[in-house]
Amino acid sequence: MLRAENLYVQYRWRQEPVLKGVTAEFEGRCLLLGPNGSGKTTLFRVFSGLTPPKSGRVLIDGEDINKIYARAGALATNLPEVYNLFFLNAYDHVIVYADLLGGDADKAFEMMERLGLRRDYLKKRKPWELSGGQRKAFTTGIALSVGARNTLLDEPFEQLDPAKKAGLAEELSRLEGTLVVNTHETWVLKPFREWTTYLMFEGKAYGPVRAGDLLESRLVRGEVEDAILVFEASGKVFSLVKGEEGEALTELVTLDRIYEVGMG
Amino acid sequence: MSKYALYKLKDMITNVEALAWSIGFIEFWVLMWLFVFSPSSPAQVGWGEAMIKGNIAMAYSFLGILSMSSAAIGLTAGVYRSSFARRFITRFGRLGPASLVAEDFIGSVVAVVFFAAVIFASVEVLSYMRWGVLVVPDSPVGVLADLVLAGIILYWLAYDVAMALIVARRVRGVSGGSMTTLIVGFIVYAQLWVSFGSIVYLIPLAPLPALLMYHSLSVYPPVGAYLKWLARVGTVKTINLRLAAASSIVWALVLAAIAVVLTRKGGAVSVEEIGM
Repeated sequence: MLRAENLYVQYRWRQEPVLKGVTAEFEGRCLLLGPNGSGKTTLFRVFSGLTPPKSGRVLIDGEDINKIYARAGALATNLPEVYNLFFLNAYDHVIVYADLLGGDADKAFEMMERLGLRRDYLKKRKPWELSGGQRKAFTTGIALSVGARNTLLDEPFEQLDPAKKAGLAEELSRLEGTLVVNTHETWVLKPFREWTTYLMFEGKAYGPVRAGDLLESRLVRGEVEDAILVFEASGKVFSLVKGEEGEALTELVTLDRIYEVGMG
Repeated sequence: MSKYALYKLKDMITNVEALAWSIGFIEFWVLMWLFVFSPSSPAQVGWGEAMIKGNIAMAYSFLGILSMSSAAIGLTAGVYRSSFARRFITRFGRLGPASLVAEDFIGSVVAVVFFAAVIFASVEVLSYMRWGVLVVPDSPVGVLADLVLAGIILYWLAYDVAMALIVARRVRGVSGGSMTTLIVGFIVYAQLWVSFGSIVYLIPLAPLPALLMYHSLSVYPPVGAYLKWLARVGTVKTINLRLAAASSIVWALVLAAIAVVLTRKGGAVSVEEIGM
């Protein structure tokens, strides 16, 4: 279980915070949906101990993250900055990370092959020499091989072809423990309709709601009574409602388009 | 122990760029030293066997330290590059911060001592080919201890530079900052011609060639200007070996203490702030 309590993240003094009082609890299967730049990855970095919050608290399985050290199996992630340890090839990185994080290297290689990344190719490339899609497969493969109690996947479907997206979605449904997937793509609502979902806009989290409810919802401007969710983006208020009015959330394809809707 | 130390060692001794600097570049100086700067017929310039031995011991002492300093460039860049991965691993991996630093330290020091050993061996072999003289250290354990001490100082110096850059949020300073260890190495190397006098005890690594010379030849070396001392030109003050050893140990401890402080401060700098 992962919990964020009133989290604020600010990089520089007098700069606008990137996270503005995020409170959210992730347990079981969860989605974090939001446009690019909404703070989803920053929230993952805070949970991973890479970015210290200015204020607020992060709890991993009920324990403050500041007290967590040498806890293999508590959390795994596919954030690329985590997998940049040596000037060695990607294959060696898999071996070292499996050892350090308590994962299974063979399982990681198997997962990567399913995502289109061959084992022998990993011996020829350093992690940062892999293409965007290959690197995603590389980091996601390691993260999933750990079998951690909590797994954070940052845009795992990005740059994957449709067949591989479907395969990965199936794999994620089988995973045990808490899994949080962040993405700006709305198609994920369909295969993951039972998952708990938070929406994220401009450093604020809204939710939780069931993905299936969002799937059937439509986006309208302004605050509507009995709305599934009300949120703010670009200084405008939006509501997600059931009914015929507005634009179906899934029709947006990507939540980056929220701003186009906002412009009218 | 995890596989970290082993892969750290592999990382350092298989990195082509690091090998080019710490072995390729220094081998060039080995060849220059033995085949250009040293006389081909020592007898003609009045060199006895003791002097040749001194020359050889100086070659592997100074060039060995220079090789280690050069290898430490990669250490700084490595600490900087992996600082965020380390943060994650120490929380959600099986190594805590102290264990990770210990394994990193072991892997790195073994690697830099390995580079020095390669230079040592090449000086021995090439000198033997040139003059037929083989210099076997009087105290091999002492020579090894000196090299390890040099490795320890360079490790912490490289680590401190990397962490200082992170704390200061100076991304662009990495390539320049990484050169700090090599600059220190060249300051030490400069002692072949110049003497820092008593200041030698205040410069990290600077007293170590004297310790290496002592453990190699059982002679009391000078505080600097080694070539002048070897050629017996003028008088150069003899170094206080106890003070030299104490200075090196204190430097290692001070740099390690600075590393602890900087590591704590570095934890408050986010990935986004230094653009990794």
